[in-house]
Amino acid sequence: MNEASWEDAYRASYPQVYRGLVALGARPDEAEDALHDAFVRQLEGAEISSATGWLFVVALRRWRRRRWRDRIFRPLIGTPRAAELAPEVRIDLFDALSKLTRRQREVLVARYVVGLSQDETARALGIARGTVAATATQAARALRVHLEEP
Amino acid sequence: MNDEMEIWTVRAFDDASARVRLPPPERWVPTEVEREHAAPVLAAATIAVLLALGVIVWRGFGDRLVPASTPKPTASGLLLVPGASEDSTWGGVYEHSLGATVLRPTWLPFTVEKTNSSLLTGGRFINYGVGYVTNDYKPLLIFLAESLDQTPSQLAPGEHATDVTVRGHDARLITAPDGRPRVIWTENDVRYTVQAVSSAISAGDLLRIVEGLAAVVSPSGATR
Repeated sequence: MNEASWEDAYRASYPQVYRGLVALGARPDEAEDALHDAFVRQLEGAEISSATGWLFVVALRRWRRRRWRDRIFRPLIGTPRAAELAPEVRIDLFDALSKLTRRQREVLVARYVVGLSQDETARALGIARGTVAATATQAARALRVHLEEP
Repeated sequence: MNDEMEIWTVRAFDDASARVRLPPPERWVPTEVEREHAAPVLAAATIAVLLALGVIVWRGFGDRLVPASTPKPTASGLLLVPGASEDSTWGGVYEHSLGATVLRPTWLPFTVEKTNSSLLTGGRFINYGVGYVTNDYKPLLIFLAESLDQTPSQLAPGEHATDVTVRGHDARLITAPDGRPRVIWTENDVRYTVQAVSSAISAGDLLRIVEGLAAVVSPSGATR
C-alpha cells in the first residue's frame, strides 16, 4: 500500500478505531498518539490486509505499551486516569465494559465499535472465529447485567 | 447471540460511540516533520529496548515504581534499562530525543553509582526518564521530561505545592506527605520533573540540582 492510499484508508478507519480505544479506556490524547504511532508504523513497511483491523490492533498494542509505561511512572508523577481528567466524557457503557475481562472487552469493541466482522476480529485478536462469537454473546450478556444493576 | 440481544448490543454501542468526540480531522495524521523523524527513532528505540531486556533492572526503583496491582509485563513494554555509565545513559537519551533539550545534572548530593533510563517517543510526543540508583538498586533521584501535549502531573492526596523560580522559569516545588520533594517546570517547550525518591535528598538539594542542569549536546552525554 503506498503512502497516499494508506492515508486514505487510515482516515476512513480513524473514527471507529479512535472510539474503540476510548471505549477500552484510553484517554483522548493516548488514543490520538496510538493512532499516530500506528500510522507511522505502516509507513515503515508493514503488510496490511484489512486496514481497519490492522490499525485497531497496532494502535491497541501501542496504547497498551504507553499505558504500561505510565503505570511505571504514575506513582512518581501522579498522571491521572481518564475518568479523573474528564468526567464529562465518561460513558456508562464504557464504565461497565471495564468490568469485563480483557478478551471480552476487546471482542465487543472490535465487533461493535470498530465494526470488524467475526473473521476480522478473530484475525486481529489472534483467536478462533468460534471464540469470537461465543465471547461476544457471553460478554454482551454480562455487560447488560452490569448496566441494569441498580 | 439472539436477535434481541444483538439489537440491544448494537444500539448500546452505537449510542455510546456517538458520544465520543473525535479530534479535529487536521490532527488525525501526524505532520510531515514528525513522520520523517519518528520512523527511525521508533525503530532505534525498539531495538535498544529489545537488546537491553536481558539486563533490565526492573528492581531498580523497587516499590516506588511498582503499582499496587502488578500489571503483566510484555517484552516491548518494559522500558527501564540500565546504562553502562552515567555518560552513556544521558548520551543514549540524547540520541533519541527528537531534538528535545535533554537536561543533565552537573551537581549531585551523592556519589553516582548506577543509572537507569526510560525513553518513549512517538508521532508527537517524547517522554524520557533517567534514574539514579545505588549499587544495590535503591532509588535516589529521577529526572523526567515530557512534551507539553501530555497530561501534566497532578497533586496527589496529602501533597502540597509552593511556587518557586528555577533557571529563570516559574516552577512548582511539590512536597509529598513523607517529605520527598519534586520540582516541575517548563523550559524549551518541554515539561521537566526532578524528583527525589530518597528521603536523604532535601528540597534545597533538589533546587540546587535543578539550577545546575545543563543541556546534553552529544551522544557521549557531554554537556555544553
